[in-house]
Amino acid sequence: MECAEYRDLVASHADGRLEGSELAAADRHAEVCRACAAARSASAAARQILRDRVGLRRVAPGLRTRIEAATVAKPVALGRTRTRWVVQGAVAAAAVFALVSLVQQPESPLGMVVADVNALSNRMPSLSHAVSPPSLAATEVLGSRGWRLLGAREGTWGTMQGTMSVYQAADGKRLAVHQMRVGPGFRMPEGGVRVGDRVQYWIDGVVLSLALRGDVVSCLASRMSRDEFASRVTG
Amino acid sequence: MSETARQHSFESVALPLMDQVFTTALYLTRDRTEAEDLVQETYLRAYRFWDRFQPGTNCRAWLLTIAHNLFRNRYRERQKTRSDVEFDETLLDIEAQSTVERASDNPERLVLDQVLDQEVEDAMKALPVDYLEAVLLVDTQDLTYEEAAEAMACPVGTVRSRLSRGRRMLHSALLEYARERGLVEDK
Repeated sequence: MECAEYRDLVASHADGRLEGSELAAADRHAEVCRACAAARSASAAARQILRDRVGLRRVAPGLRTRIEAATVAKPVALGRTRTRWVVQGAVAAAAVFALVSLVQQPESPLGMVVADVNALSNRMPSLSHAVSPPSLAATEVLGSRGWRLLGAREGTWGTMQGTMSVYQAADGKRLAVHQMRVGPGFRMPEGGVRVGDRVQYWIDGVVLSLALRGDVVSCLASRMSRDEFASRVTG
Repeated sequence: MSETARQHSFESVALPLMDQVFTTALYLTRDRTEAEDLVQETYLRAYRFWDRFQPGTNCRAWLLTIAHNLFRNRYRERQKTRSDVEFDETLLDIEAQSTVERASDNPERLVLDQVLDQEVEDAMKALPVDYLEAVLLVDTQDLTYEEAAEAMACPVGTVRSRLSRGRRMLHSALLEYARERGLVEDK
């Protein structure tokens, strides 16, 4: 089997939908072709994210009513609609409460986060997104500069847990803001250069700029050559 | 079947699937108003031909087949400028190569875990409609390849290749979002 043929079957292979000689040929090809093996892995990952992330969109109550009226000719199902709103409201309130709890809890519930910048670097060697404290200020400041909040999600990144928000500028550029809490014993890693209230680290072409405010670590990161970094911190 | 029984059957089997049909319509049309029109038309047609539905078979697949037929006939021409984007195989090869180079640290998990729902939606909206249909039907609506082929009015083999390409495009787009944020290395 050639790569071109395999690429048309890669989803079926990832889904376990091949049989017989076709399956045998695809298995043999994926064993010897790293690119196609990776394509199979990517296909499975794409399928998973589609299943996990593409949620159901609710039909507007007015449309539902029109369709019901045009077909089964039943009265408006106000009760169901109200129930749905109540459920949705409760879910939204729970989400807000969870986020506020994460942000305002005085003791870190996680006891982790950015314990070792080098370890962080090893996990994300090209890290160049921004990590900052959770605050409405971030949204306000970014908003005043034309950044629009696209959305946020909670999750685990390496050993870090928290919330990531993503903003988008008018030109389409995106900025990720991680909201991470640290344990009470957190200390800035060694090897940094203090610049104002921040400590900066150059790691493999990326500058991490960390600040500790309360029990929240703020980190801005950007790509920079070592020479440029050196000239900045010495200049 | 009496009219009352027909209404009862339609109400209990077809109407509960309205959100699923609407979700697919929204992605297909990329426009809420058009999606609502498509859903309404789908249900009116489904009700008119309800006698043709085989009880016990997959009603969602049946409704989605109607929706896709209507979409193709009435909406696709309007979408043509946005939909008929030829996918650049060269980009696929580059993407595949970059994926190989990052395969050792499980890039899919590392990257895709951080992708936002909005970014997934944006990536889906950017798919050519043929690929989008396959991805929607198989991956989000959980139709079998055979059911998807019927809904798309094409052979199963076409579903396979469109699904493969759609997922690869989606994966590439999500990697690009991640790259913009520096979560993966530039190539």
